[in-house]
Amino acid sequence: MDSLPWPEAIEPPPALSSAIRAQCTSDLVPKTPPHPWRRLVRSIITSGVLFVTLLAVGWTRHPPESAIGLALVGAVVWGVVQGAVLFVGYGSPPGRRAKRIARWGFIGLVLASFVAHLSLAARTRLSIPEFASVHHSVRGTVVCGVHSLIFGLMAMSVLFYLWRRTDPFSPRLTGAVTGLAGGLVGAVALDMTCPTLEAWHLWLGHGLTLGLMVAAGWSLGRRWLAP
Amino acid sequence: MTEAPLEEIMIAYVLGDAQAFDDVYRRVSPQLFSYLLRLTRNRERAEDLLQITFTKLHRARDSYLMGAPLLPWVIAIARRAFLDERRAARSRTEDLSSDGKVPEPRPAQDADAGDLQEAVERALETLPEAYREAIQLTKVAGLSLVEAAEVLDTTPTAVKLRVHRGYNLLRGQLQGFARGPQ
Repeated sequence: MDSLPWPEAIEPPPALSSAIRAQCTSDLVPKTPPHPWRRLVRSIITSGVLFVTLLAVGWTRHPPESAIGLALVGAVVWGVVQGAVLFVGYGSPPGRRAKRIARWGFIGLVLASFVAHLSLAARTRLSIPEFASVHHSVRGTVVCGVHSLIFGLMAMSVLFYLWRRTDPFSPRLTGAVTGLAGGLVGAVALDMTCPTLEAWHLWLGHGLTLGLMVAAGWSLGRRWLAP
Repeated sequence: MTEAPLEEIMIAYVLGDAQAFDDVYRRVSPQLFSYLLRLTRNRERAEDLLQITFTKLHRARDSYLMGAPLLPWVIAIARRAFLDERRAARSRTEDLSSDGKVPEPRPAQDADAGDLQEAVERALETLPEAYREAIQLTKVAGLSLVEAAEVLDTTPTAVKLRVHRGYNLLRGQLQGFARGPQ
């Protein structure tokens, strides 16, 4: 089949070409094309500052139950995970990023790791009827979930803004990675400052919101990230 | 003399060089227009989409990340514009011809009429969209399997499979041509 005379590329009509040229060069002002790494560094700094701020505010109100050193190690580990998520999502220019399946696998791995972390951190576990019948448990879970979502959405919005219109290839997948990165800022900061160590509270109020943030990023990715 | 890589010229365009836009347009538009013509099978729509694509490229030029392959980048923008337009058209109404009737499908033409290039062109038109697009991107636009996979939002293996199946169909269509006119 390689020897077949494949159709030649066709030139657009000259009138159309002139119109497009006029449209694209009449208001041509110099812009700075940022290197992906520069944007990546900006993204890491921005989400890091937000994460540290949320953590500091949270610890002022509810000091960590474990030793402060251990809590700091946890914060650093999750900070590194956030950096890795941003690196996987944006470390290379679009068209040269890791395979789709690898990126989805990475998202799944981080989500599973966070749920595992929450399960290990849980000290008690009520039965579902008990959990549902205790008013303050449900209320506390909703409050944590809403806060986690608000903080996550704040971080995700900043990341979407920094990377807007950059990915025509897989904007939904990149949006999901952005949702995960933003969601981690909110969910981890809240998890490290929340005094409740009941399993259902952690899974629903903290873990589920991270999954919701991935879904939100996926659904918004095409609108925000595709040119 | 070898030409500068498209990606470098694109950066010059982002930095405000109008001549660089001309170079980008000269090198990208034929492949893009051919792709759009086969995608839409309608010259007017292809022209509209070409203009929309370059408008989007112009607006998003400062979002072009250094190192991203330019031709696949532009084709991916065009493909998304086409899909958006088709989705919007479907939600509005069926496509009607100028006299208000539903257009008739193109009649299949004999593969053994005319020269081989015309036969290939006609045979390509009869292929299912997925196969035609995969062959168009790899054979006419000259993208690699990986680049075509990025544009089509799928895996290189899937593109390879589509191209292979498209070849099989083409082979069937062109058998009459190989035997020559009866």
